[in-house]
Amino acid sequence: MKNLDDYTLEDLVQDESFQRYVRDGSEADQVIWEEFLKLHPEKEQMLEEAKTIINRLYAKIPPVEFHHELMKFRSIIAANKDEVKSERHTKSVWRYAVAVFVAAIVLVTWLLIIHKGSTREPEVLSNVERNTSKGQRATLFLKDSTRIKMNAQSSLIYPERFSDDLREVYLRGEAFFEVERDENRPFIVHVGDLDVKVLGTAFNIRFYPEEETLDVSLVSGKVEVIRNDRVQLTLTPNTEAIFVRSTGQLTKSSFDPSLKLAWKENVIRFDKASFREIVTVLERWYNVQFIYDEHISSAGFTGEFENMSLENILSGIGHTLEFEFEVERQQVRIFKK
Amino acid sequence: MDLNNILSIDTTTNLSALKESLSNELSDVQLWNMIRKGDADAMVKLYKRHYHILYAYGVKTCHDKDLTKDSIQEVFTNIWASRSSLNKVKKVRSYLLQSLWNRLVRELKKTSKRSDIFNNQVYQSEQIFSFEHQLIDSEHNNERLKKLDQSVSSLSKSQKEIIFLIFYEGLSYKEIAERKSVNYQSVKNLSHKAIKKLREMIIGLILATVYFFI
Repeated sequence: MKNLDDYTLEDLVQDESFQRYVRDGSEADQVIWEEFLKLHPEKEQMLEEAKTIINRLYAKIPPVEFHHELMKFRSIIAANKDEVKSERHTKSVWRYAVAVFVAAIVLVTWLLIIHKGSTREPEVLSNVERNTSKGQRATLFLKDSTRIKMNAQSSLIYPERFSDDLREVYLRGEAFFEVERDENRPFIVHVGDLDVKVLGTAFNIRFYPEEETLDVSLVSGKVEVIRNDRVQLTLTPNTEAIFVRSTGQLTKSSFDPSLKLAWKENVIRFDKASFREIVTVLERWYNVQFIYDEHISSAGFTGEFENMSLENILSGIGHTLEFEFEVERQQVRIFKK
Repeated sequence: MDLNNILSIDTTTNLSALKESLSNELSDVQLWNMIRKGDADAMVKLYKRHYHILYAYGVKTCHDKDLTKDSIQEVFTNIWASRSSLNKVKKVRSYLLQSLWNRLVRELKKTSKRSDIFNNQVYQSEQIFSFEHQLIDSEHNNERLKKLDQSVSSLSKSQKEIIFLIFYEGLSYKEIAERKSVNYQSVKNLSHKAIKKLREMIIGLILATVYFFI
């Protein structure tokens, strides 16, 4: 393989890792090329040119949409794995008898349908998908009495009925779970590259694909954070797991519930937040788009807002960070004072 | 040699090693065989690895993002549903692209939209060179489009093909040489020329766009 130092533009655009970085937004590859640029600042222009070429050659999917598709696919696979599982020993004769009876009914129904001449459809998977858009929050009650509060711009997939031995759901975005205790049926949240396994607890998960980390924050009970089928961390109350998606690093630390869980009480709370962070939160919360070209003071902002209008919040923050604003429809323009 | 130099050499080597380790993951064929045995994790890995290239190809082909997303989902779902009866595949990525193409053709024929470009049964590489939809709409676009069209058509058929094989099917020079029954060196020369041309075309287009706005 050619030495990275001698790379020409042709080598660069044909490099699988470089393609993955630009085309797929692969975080693992991003680390390599950012490091490469640090080592060879003189090659910046070449790198930019190569990026342009790749961007023109391929159409790209936004990360949120990709993770949504991935989540849907994983739920389809999970629903289709069961036939292997159900081949285990039947627990009682009664179950067996019931199964035979049900099978007979299904067979008869099926024959009747066939007879009527309708086309055979592939098996329909009974997953339910629930989405919240920007500016929207929702509370769900699952059939096992588990309560889930979803934050804005989030998505949850769950089966219409849980199986006898497992409760599995899929999440993208942010949600607070209060899982009904059931020792015989663990509850698993599949989120990004992690699985979060619990018996019955309250915890918050935050995974917005455009953000660097995936956080699991435990309020009560116990959860296991699983990656590649192995338990990586066990959380105790008031600790959280922070997963850095680009490096795969997973660490445990304590967290401030009043900050992390403010959203579910409809409170927006900032703690030394940068302007960029504030924009991200408000865009999601109020379904607006910020437009600003001047550099707004990057000094951290600390403050709390409960059930306030966007205008009131902005004038509060603008006073501290010294900006003025204009809200028109779904757009917020920011001007430096 | 000063210390700085040594350090930088050392780090570039580390970088190469890190890069190497990323490509040391299970190969497509290994994943494929695991899927045939019903390994769900392998299925998800394959999905993650090839989703973006399929999306790129689908959108370039049919200009319909939702249709592309649905079709990709169906391609992978079908593989999983028929996992126990899957045949062995040599080049998984080519197989996936071909499956996506088949699906798109079927869907588009149903709605009789753009059926004109799908007369050919074999899946095509030409569509990836349509850059029009990436340009913003404006009355003055026509002139530039015309220019671009000219430069695209100035890529020869074999140049277009080789770009497709490298950038979409992800074939190496060696694999292309085998498939096309030509020697390695001529594949290398052809690709070098094609990429150079492509670069001129794309950078030229960007400059033209910038120039236009000034």
